[in-house]
Amino acid sequence: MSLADPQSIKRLWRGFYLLLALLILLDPKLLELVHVLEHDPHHAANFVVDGLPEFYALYGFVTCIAMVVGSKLILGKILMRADTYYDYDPLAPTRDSKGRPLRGKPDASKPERKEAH
Amino acid sequence: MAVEFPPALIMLVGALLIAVSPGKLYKGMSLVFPALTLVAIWLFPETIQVKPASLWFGYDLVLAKLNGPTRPFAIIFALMALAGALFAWNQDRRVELAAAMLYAGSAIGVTFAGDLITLFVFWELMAVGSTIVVWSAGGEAARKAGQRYVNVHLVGGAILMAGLALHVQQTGSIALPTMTMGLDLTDPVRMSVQGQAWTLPLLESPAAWLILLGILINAGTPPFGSWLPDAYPEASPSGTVFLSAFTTKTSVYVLIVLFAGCELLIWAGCLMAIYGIVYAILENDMRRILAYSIVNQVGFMVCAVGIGTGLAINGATAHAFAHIIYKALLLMSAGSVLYMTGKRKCTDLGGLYKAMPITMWCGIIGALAISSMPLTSGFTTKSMITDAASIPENWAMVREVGGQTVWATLFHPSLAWFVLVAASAGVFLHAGIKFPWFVFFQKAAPENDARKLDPPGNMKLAMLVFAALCIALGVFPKPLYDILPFQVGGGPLYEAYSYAHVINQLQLLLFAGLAFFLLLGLLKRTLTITLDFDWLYRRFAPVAWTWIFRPLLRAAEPFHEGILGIPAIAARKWGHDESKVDYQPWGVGTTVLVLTIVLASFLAIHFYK
Repeated sequence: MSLADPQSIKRLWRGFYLLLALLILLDPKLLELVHVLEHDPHHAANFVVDGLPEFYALYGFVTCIAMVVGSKLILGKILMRADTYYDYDPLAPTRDSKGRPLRGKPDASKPERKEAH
Repeated sequence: MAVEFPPALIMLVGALLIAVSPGKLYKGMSLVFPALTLVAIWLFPETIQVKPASLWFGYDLVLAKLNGPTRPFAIIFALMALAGALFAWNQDRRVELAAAMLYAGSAIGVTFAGDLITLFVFWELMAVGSTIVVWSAGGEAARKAGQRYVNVHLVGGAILMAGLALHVQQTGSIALPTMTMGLDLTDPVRMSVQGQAWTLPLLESPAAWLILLGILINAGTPPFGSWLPDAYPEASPSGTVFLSAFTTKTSVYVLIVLFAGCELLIWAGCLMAIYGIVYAILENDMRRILAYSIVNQVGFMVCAVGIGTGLAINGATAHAFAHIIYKALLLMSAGSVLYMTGKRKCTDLGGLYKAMPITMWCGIIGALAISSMPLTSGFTTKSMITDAASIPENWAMVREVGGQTVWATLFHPSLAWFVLVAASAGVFLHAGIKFPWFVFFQKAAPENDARKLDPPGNMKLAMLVFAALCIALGVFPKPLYDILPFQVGGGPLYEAYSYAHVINQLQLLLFAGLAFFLLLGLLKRTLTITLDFDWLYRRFAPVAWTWIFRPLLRAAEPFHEGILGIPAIAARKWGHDESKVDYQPWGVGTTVLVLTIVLASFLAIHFYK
């Protein structure tokens, strides 16, 4: 089995979905609801919603979507900069003594940035 | 045999010897001294207080004694120094090792400190050691990052010192409070000092606020914590491993000792937990991702200290213990990748699963442990914190309004639990999957990948030992539970494994995993960094000075010249060329002179008041 093989990737996904389905079925509150499991006083609901079946699965999924979307699409749009942001000094002179613009010329004092592939 | 001296001394002497020893001898010493310290911590008697021969300026110093959470913190600090030295064995950086021993030794000194002055001295020594660790990576980036790092910590230290001085002046005592358990583990702990209630957690005095601020700067709490992701990733591969362990966890220890039950910490901790995740999701540098996940994890501990029940304090201590191990493991794994490939950005990495299998598996075990997957150390420790948060009626303050009892907390106390559970899911997202995925997988390994990129033996051994510990503490947590600050007779201290708990945790994590892979397109790495609060002093302040404040001062020049004549007088006085009026840097000499004059005049005023 190779991870580069799309067939095995598909198999991994199928296994993952199967596991998720199993976890949904094994939910303790669900099993209590259908009387397979006795009520466990150590895991009584403290905040109402955490006593609902599938709360943890749903909560984990929804909050993670919210965190990714919130950070990438909202905060990221405001705060992300090129990773060379701090390499250049905004106060460094932009023109030489004769008024010619320095921008665009390679800066000898700083190493060339390696391009990522 | 009883050890009747501060165990920290062994490491501090060790740091000196490592710095001056001839040849390669220092490598062996860097293993021997942490091991000796470990033994000394174990043999340190329960009841004694190590004091200097006489009073020090009238203060009754206690150089070492066992406070409630001393033992677990000191043990893990010594263990960490040992594993870190093993990991650094092949990387001939003598200065870094000496500094790391100083750093770890003073962290242990803080945990054994029996009074506020001793605590502060070791606290500041830690800043010195850690700064040298950052600097010893060499290179311009490390030099600058270390400079910013030490500036922040010196300011933090000054704030803490001011708070401690005020506190000592008001109460006349340098004693640390003693913590006792309530009736049950789930009740708030009681803090008292010499028979009086300890009031620092109520934040009623400026001293309490200053002390808290000084500690929170070190704990990495936003908006004061951006030094952490700024400096840690610039250290060497082994330096980052050392750095990850001590500063923030020492802060957690000091918060436990001084501020258990301080409500503000609950919300500070929640903020840290979420903030760490949000930034880790956005970051590209693998060690910056892990640095932000330190903030996230320390958030859980800070929140637990704020909750302040016996269970929560036990949880914070146990979590700190487990966290140091798996975080060091993750950073060792990242450090090995950096050491072997020279690459640190997720955009450059990936497809390494065939080339570095041991590093990958150790990284995955660390990643599972940080996500508190059942059978790992995160599950048996962090669960205590979420469990403690789930019973707010035991810890949240209430007050009477119009005959009705309402919560007196800043936010509804249930918020803490919901944030912590969401953050637990988020940990799996940003560290549990994101780190191994983008570093080792992400793209297919080359066909017939014959690269052998697993690091040298000592680095592998350090990783394997810590990976084994992550599993061992997850399967058999009793030895750790036995050294936690609060013990109850009869039955195990905490039972993490129950059907509902295991299934719920798996549901939480695996559905977070589902969210990760469904949103993989959105999570694609970009060549970016994300601005943090350090932007204020790295960019905003210099630009504001050059373009706003300096021009304003210069515009006001004629006013000063004409009416007051001060600049001219000053220029004549200190030999400045009058024809070229400009604001020049003063230099240290003049600054010291002015400060001395100001302080001397304070002294004079005080005498004749």
